[in-house]
Amino acid sequence: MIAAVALVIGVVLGIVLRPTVPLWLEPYLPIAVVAALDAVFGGIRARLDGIFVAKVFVVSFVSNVLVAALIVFMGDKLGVGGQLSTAVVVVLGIRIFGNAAAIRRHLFRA
Amino acid sequence: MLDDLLDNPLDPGYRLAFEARLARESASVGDKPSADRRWWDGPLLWLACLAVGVLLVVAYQQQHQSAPAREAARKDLIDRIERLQQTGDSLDGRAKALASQVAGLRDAQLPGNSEELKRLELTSGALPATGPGVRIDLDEPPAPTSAANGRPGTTPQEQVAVLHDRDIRAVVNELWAAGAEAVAVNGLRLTATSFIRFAGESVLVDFQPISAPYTIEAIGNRNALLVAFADSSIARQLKTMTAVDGITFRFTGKSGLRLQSVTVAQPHYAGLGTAATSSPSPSPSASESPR
Repeated sequence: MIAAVALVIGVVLGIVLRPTVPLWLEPYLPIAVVAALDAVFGGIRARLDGIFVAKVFVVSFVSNVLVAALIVFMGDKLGVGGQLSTAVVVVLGIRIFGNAAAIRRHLFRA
Repeated sequence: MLDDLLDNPLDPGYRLAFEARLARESASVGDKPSADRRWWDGPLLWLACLAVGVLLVVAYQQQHQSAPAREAARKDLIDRIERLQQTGDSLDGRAKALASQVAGLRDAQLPGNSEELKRLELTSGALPATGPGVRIDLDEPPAPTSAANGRPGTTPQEQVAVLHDRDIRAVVNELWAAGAEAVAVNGLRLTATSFIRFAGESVLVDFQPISAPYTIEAIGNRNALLVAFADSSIARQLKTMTAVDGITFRFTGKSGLRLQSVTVAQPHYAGLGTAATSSPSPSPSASESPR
């Protein structure tokens, strides 16, 4: 519950404050969003499974975002940034779908 | 690894942490009901969710704000390119007008050797040329319809862009060799220092990109040009390409062709001198005219 409230407050904060993203950070933003979504879906599923641990969620969120950004950064330096971003999106996308399916099974028993 | 990814989308950390907690709770029953539920778990979770919300909004806004900015920058660049091209065109026209003025004044002042000069100017491209000649039309094969070849845009580049700079260059060289007095490609008059090259996907004539259909016009003895060109190897090769690749290739004699004049570049001559003042020698032209 507090998580949902915090999420809404975060959204409102983002709309109100309108933080400007520095230019060098811009390419990592979409990847960071996908990584964050992966962590969120994993957390929701763990909650529904009854095995949610806040520490694991926080650590997985932070490390997901950082590692995704690092991979894209390294890819940019090596000249394969686009392909590595695709790889990150594919892997995280599969995980998001898997978790979403599990959540759906929990919620609808189907 | 892929199987693992597909079968276990959940972070294994959750399961491990949960089992660890179970084990600890069963080991110390009653002492502390939730030993690993530290005080910072709540705020940390709260902060993480806050961060997720901010991240989502920021990413959304970034995408929607940067798109118009990028579009504006692109438009600005296009505007600048067009403006500079217009400036270049007007300067070119002014140069031509001034050159004709100079020629008129010179003719008035020095009535002596104007015939010889006219002839040289004609061959060098400084004067517009009119007269009979041949016209050669080259065009890429028609783009295949989507029904014939799957989705549109899936045809390899080699099948839609068959003609290269070397084809046009070969035609031009053949025309020079057959005795053409003036040659133009898509309306661009060729001079002794003109070149025809390939850059990316477009053919460059004197740094001006041209695209299909290509029209090559040559002024000279019409019958001699037609006969010599029809007999040349490049004509045979282009005929083969018509049959194999489906390009358009026509050559016809014309009675009244008119080719534009160009501003002829001042040639640079290599000379003795110090390193600082030596001018570069004229680069060999790609279209090796026999003159």
